[in-house]
Amino acid sequence: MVNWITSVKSFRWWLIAIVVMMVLPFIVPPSFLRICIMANFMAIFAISWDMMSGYTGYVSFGHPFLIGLAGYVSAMLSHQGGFQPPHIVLPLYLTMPLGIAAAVGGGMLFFLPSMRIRGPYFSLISLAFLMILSRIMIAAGAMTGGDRGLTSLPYVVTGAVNNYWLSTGIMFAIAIGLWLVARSDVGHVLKAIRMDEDVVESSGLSTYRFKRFAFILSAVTAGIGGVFYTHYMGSISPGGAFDYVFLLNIIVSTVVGGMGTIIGPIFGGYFVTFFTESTRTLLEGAWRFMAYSLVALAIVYFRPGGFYGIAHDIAAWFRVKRRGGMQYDQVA
Amino acid sequence: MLALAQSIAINGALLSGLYALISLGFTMIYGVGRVLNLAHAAYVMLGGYVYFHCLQIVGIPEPISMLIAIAVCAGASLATYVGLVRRYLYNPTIVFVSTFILALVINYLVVLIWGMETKNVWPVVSGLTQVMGQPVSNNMIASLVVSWVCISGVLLFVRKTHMGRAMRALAMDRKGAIVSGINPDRVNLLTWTMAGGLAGIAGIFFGSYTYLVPAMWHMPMVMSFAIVIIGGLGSIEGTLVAAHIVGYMQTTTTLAIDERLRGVFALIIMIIVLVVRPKGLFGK
Repeated sequence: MVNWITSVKSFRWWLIAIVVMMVLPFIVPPSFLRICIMANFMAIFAISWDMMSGYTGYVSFGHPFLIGLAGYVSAMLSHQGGFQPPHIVLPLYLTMPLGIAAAVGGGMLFFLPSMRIRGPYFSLISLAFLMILSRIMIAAGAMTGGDRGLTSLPYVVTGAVNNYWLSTGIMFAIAIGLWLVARSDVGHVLKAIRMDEDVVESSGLSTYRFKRFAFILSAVTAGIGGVFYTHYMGSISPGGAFDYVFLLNIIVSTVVGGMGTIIGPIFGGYFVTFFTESTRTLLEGAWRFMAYSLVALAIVYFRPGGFYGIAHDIAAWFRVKRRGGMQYDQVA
Repeated sequence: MLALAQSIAINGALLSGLYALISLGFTMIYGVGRVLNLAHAAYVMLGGYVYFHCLQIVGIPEPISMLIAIAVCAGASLATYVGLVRRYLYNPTIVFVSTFILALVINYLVVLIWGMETKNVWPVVSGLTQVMGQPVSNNMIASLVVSWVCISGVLLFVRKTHMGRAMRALAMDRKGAIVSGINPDRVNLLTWTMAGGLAGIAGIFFGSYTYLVPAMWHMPMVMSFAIVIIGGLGSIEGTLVAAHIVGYMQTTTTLAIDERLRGVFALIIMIIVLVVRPKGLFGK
């Protein structure tokens, strides 16, 4: 059992990461920073997915539902056209919390009842919700802009450097916050649910309450990511928010980085974004996505533990080498 | 009004047959291996495209084109099991994620080979017949007949043959089946091959029913989820009944309400079933 207050030592990696990220804007061009911004958002979405699915094992295909709902609510309220017929245009500091609240509320209304149902049913139902929301957003064209979505939304801040600071700050705040939660006893219970839910239940814990806690954290994170992403891009559309590729990117980021680790998804988010961006000039259209899907498939197949698992193995190997042999507490 | 009702009756029967055919393989794989193959609907698309390619680009005669399409799908399904799923049979998260990525790989493969444009497949059987005063294409009737032949064939196979009984035994009690000498791996190999073949047949008719486009697998995928959940995961009879509920629901929505809400009602039924009876109508 790790007591996170006493293990201040493990914060040193966070410090190194934060220092690196703070130096970055002074040495790289804005075009590179723009990729980092996308990577930060992808990392936020992946952390959100990891908090729920990576820890509890309830694979959600519906995270774009939460992200898209938050983004759409904030976009509809802040759009110049406003709500029709009464033209209300609210400022961002009101619409963004409302968007996050919509993600949490909508999620609790739809996802939580299905979390009582175990196994593959939850995954299928979450995908179904995603499809329904996507259809409704297209059908309710008067408010949501239909297929084309809403454009020219207000920005939170402008310029690559400002957006970089903003997205990096949010990403680190969320990551460290959830990392602390995941290292606490709650995180252990969530991992135990993934391994054997019946055992957790029979030791007197209400697994539903733990799942609900994980879900709310996940939904808040998804909502924050969703509204900031929407107002960074300045537009939202069903093709972007509810696309399978978007869903794939979130899941692949988490799995490639390492499920159930919070830190892994950050690496996964950066890997996925930089991989798809760096191949943009080399390969075109479908070839790029094909290459990306195949790489993702290979990592999932050969290294289900992801980058975090690989790093863990390497670190363990060095420890064993230094001490000259395998010791009991290092096996796991 | 009468014409609309007749139209719904006829089109609903056809769509339900196709949906049953698409969902059958999906539910069989779940029943035997407790694995959800998210790439299943992508095989349906692959079947349609391979048939189109053989028939209309290469110019191979119709029956042989069909056989090639079915064989390609069966092979793809078998390869998925052997190459991807078998290693992580007891890790549903990995199976979910990897078969989902595989579906997108197949999607991009289709885009790369055949492009994004829609393609029209020649009807398998040409001509029109009057049914209840409504003109119905012979292709639709053929597709309905083939669907029912395949479904009855699978039901007979599962009930009457030794291998079919082994499948049902595995679905009921895995350990008990293994103790009585059933090799689960062999049964899985056969089930995945059969499921792929059924997806191929469904693809041929689904392609000629609508048209071919790389996004055509989305709707069958979601509909087959809804069908297997309403019917009960792993139950063939349940799949058949649920396919008709969903098929008629969808036809009614498309013809009488709003084409854009296609699929929404089926998903709503699915959610109601999940809340009221989580194991589905026929699930155990």
